[in-house]
Amino acid sequence: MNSQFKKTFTKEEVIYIAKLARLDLTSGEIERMQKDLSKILEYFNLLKDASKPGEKFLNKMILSFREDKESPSLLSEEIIKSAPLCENSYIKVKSIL
Amino acid sequence: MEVTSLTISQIHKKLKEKEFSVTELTKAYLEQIKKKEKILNAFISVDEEGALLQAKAVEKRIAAGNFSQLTGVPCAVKDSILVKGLRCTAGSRILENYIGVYDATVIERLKKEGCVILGKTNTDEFTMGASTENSAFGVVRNPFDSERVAGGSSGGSAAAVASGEVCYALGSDTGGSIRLPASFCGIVGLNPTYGSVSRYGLIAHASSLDQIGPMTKNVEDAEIVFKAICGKDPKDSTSFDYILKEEKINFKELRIGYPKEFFSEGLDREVEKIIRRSLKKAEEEGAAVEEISLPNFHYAIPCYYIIVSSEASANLARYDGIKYGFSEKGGDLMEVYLKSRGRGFGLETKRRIMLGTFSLSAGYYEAYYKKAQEVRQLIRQDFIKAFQRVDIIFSPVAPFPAFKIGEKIDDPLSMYLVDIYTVGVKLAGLPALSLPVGKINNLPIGLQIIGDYCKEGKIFAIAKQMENMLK
Repeated sequence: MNSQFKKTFTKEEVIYIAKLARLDLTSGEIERMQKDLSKILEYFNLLKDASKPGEKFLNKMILSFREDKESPSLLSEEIIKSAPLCENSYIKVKSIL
Repeated sequence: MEVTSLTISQIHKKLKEKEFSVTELTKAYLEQIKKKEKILNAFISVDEEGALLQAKAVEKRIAAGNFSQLTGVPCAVKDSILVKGLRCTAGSRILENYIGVYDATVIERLKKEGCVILGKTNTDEFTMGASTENSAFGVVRNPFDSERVAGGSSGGSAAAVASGEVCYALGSDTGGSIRLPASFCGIVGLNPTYGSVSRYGLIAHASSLDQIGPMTKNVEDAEIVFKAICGKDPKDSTSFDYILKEEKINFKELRIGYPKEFFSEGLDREVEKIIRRSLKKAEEEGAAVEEISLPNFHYAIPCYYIIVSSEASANLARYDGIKYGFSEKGGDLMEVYLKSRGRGFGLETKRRIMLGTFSLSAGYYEAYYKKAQEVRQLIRQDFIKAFQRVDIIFSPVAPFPAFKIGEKIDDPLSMYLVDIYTVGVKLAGLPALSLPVGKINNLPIGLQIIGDYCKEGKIFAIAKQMENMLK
């Protein structure tokens, strides 16, 4: 795929993006996405006419750091308990290999 | 006067004079919720028991004479903000049974003031929408016309305040989600300067844009709530030391700009009349009103939706069926992910995840995400230039009053365009307030008052005077 503005989506492309996004879509949803995304993208292609910003206006990020001080993490137990499957202090998942 | 129509300072005065107790006040609001919820659906959960316990606790504090303006005042919190021990769904089926394990920083701060939280308000799923029609818990109905939307995504908070179910509420604004429902429901809503309020405990939608803000009956209340929640929080590295500076405004020395691009095609004639009438009023008070230009305005919607969906696609990766709430069974881990996300998310959320995943994908990243980041700078630059000429900008919040339920839900692009006047402010990181300034056939219309960075004090001062003038 090259760096270009896109006009329409094929069914295969929708299925490919859904897989990248980890979404299981129904066939009805795939059809709907194909139609909606094409229409939205067509409007978004307006951006190709925009000029480039001048260098001096590029965002100056302000990085904010806090002191590197040790502090107890009080919430890990509660957070683990929020998982659908857990055992003792661990979250349970399906075997990966 | 009904207690449920009182403002924060009126309640404070009456609590001081012992005209009623916090428990009596809380019960009156809970009663109002029972009555109004039959139609509105502004709440996802009501915490009657917890609210009455908070009320009792606060009464001791009041008896000791040690209390602030927010002490004992019943409020509601958008269901995308965590309150410890309360369910927090973000309007999504995927978090249907998720219980907040800690208080968001804004909640911690309000609790310190002795607030009484009555419940969690309805929102579009993960705050994605302009009508709350994307909520997994049903649409919020507009208090002025139940066939119409309350606006979104903080539609529940707006409807709850407008109908006297609570005195004030917290909302969150990513592209217009505080200002739009405030405009549709005839209340005041403030989207604060990016970084002035901590987002720790706000369920992330798009992190370079999300802000929490107050939704209230009048400008004074918005100021009181904002003052309580703003300021640096070590748990949100984008927050900074913010101190609200109160300002005195003399309209005779005020320069107000109105962007010509906002007053063109697409703006309802009647809305335009109401906004122009507000400008005229300000001019009569001595303000210099001038037309300004935001030349990159027409790029705001595509720029915003590319950025917002890209960030959302990354932020929502955490909902995988493993760490939180809703989980579908599958043969392997991949199947658990695919099914949990496929069934757990609603259509609009999936659409945005798809759009964001596409915008960030190899081959298209430069044309979409990178381009949108550049255009964001152009939009920011337009506002910076405008504020070299004027002190404040007036504009409509939305092109029209509240629309009919179902009118736009099948056409995502037309729903995106509802945000046309509110997203630019977010891309620039600026503060803006929605002030009710008129009605069309009983449907409220909001004036958007946009200030320069950290000029909330100026916005409040101007909005208060406008509020008085238009009474």
